[in-house]
Amino acid sequence: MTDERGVAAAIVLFPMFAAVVFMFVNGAMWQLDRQVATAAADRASQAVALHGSSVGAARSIAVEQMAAAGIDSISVEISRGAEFTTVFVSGKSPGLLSGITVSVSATSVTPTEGLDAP
Amino acid sequence: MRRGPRRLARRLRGDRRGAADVAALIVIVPLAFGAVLLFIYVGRQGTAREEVTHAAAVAARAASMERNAGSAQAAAVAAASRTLAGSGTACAGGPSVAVSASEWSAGGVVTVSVTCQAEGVTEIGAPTRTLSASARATIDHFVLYGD
Repeated sequence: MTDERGVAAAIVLFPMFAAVVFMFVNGAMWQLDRQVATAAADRASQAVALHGSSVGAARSIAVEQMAAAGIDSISVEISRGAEFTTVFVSGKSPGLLSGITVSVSATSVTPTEGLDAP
Repeated sequence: MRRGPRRLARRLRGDRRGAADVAALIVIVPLAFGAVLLFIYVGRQGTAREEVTHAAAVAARAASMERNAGSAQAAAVAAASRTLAGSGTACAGGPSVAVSASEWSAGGVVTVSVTCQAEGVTEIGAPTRTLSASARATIDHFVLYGD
């Protein structure tokens, strides 16, 4: 005769505990990658907002910073307006398990700088 | 032979095996669900706080590129609103922005405070929280806004 005491705990509680732990760790990893994306967007945005700036150089700054953190499929969209410069970056960061990727994105807004006679 | 079923029935009535498992499920499942929602709430609040701090810094920079209080206030509000909207941070009623400066000339210091009523998580009764941050920027000698 098999003793089925504890079966409910094994079937329900353990997978649930594992799922919650997985979610917490994956969430923490996503948060770190999101901060990397935010920092990259900020740097690119500040670079583009400068007077006489180069959009290509700013784009490469963002791509390099995100790639160094292990983020791939990187996309950088730069919009330099008269008043504000907006940079949107996105990419895919590796998840906790092999084959799982998580999308990260960030937007940064910086006042566009120009030069006027004092 | 007739004693067997009666004895078994008596034993089953008194059998409490498995009750602890059911109690554990009743307690632990809602607790786990609550922990997940709490994790989401704390994550959202942390992200919102970061975004408000960043919005204050951007608004201070935008304000420092102006030369009078009126235009600085408008620039700061626009910068904070754009920054928060771009990051997906929702402020109930929009962000509140206050601008002050030591002097409106080159070398003066502009201080901007941004306040946001960040939404909570209604599933666990987490309330709306007031987040605020301030930042300062120096008015440059030559840099003005726009191309």
